[in-house]
Amino acid sequence: MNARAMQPSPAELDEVTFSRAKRGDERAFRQLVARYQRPVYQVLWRMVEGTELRHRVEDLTQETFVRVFQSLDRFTYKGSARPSTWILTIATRLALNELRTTRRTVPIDQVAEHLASADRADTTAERRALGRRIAQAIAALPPKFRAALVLREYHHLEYEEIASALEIDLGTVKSRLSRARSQLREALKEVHNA
Amino acid sequence: MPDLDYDAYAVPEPPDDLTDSIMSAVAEAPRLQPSVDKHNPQLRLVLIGGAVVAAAAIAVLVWTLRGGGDDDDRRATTGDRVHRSVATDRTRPPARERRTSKTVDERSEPISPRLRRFKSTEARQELERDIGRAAAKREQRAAGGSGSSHGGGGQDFVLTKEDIQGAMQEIRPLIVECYEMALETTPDLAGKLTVAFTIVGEPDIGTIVSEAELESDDGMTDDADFSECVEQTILSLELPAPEAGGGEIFVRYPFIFRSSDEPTHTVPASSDDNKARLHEARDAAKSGQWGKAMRLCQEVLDDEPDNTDAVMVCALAACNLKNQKLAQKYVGQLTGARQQMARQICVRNGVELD
Repeated sequence: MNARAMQPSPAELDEVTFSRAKRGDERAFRQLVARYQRPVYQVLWRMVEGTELRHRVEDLTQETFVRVFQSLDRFTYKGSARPSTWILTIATRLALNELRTTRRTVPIDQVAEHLASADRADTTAERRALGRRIAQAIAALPPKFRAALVLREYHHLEYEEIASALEIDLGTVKSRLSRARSQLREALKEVHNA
Repeated sequence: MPDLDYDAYAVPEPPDDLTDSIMSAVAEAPRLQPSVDKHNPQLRLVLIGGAVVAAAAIAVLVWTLRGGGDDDDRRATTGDRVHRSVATDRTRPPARERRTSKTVDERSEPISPRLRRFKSTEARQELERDIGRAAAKREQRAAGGSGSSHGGGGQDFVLTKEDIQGAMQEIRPLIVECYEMALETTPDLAGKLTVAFTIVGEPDIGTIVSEAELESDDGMTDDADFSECVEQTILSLELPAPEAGGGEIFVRYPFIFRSSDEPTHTVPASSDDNKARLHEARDAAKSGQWGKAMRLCQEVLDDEPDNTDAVMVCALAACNLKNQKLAQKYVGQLTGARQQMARQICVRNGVELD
């Protein structure tokens, strides 16, 4: 198993605050936004990288939380999904829906250049280069493969949670992840062989 | 081939003002106001000696005082339940002395003569921390032998059965609200629900419900929304600070719920036109069209001044439109749970009613 998948997720928003948000308490909803905006922003970023939607990550993040707000009444804290999984599901489905009508028009070079400026200053040039290659490879994946991979590798969702988020069965999750990883390995063969 | 270093693909952090822009977008979005349409006039709670019956409540009411007895004693009196959180917090010495940051009026609002409700989670958490610090100090004093009547581990923190019963009677309308809401999705929901909760209090600081658990052999806890509503209602309560002592009290209190189709309206049946108008007003409210909702409910009230459903819609519309004068007028015409609910919505919208 990938050791990264074992990393603990950040703590969920507490149930009392969630409940308050559900009842329309603005301050509680602000806390909810503050807690989950980073993973939502990042899942959307990785989902739309390399497409026309790349400049709309903030808009999509806003839209995600509007949907969260409007669906809060239907979410049960102690239900089958964790709050983070539920919110990431909304973000991912929104991205997939938007991607259905969006063409891939951004050259891969632009992805690389863009990420180079976004990366942390303390990383080595070699690691930055690897990051760019991974970004390119992920951006080249079909959206449904990309969604499964991003949810698994960057947000550490369990297979069952990914199945629920993408409304596919468990076997399909495994198959998509396998094919996504295979395509990444192929795309990054030179890096690994270097 | 080794595992890929996925972390090498880093993405930027969200911009600093993202929270504000999200909150603005949310504020402009149509609000789904769950409280507007949850009153189904066809489904009413039958009162068996009251809105909710605490049958045999006194017999089941159990409490112990923490501090005087040890943990094993507590468990013996409360069954196999394991209590946590507050006791854990109390073992932690206070980082520094600090007074309660908010006044009682700043942190909570009255819902009955002896009960208040927290305005925010932060306010509740803040008071819980303050209580924890005060408890730790009190226990340190007791351990050092410096405590007298106040340092005996809460021996003086006394709530009588009547106090508990009275408090339960006062939150009854809020529990009924939860039940009425649940009946809309689970019309056959009925039976006994026992609420087991812990009250913690410290003199001059305050008293809160620190934990609440629900038990039911009748499937009452199967409705997650209902359970959550009841649990959160209990947890949101603030009680008066004890006059002396301090500590924990464990309470088990049963509620019995039964629904009925018997209408409880005292107003004459509405005309078909007014029913349709009221329906339209509710739809407008649900989609956040508060001005339209106000106009329609006022039209209904022109014909039927005593139509409490229309008054309720007008009250909610006034609160959401931040119209203090109308809010005072309509909320003032409501009673019981409906008034409490409307008041809460006004408070959320910053509309002062008193």
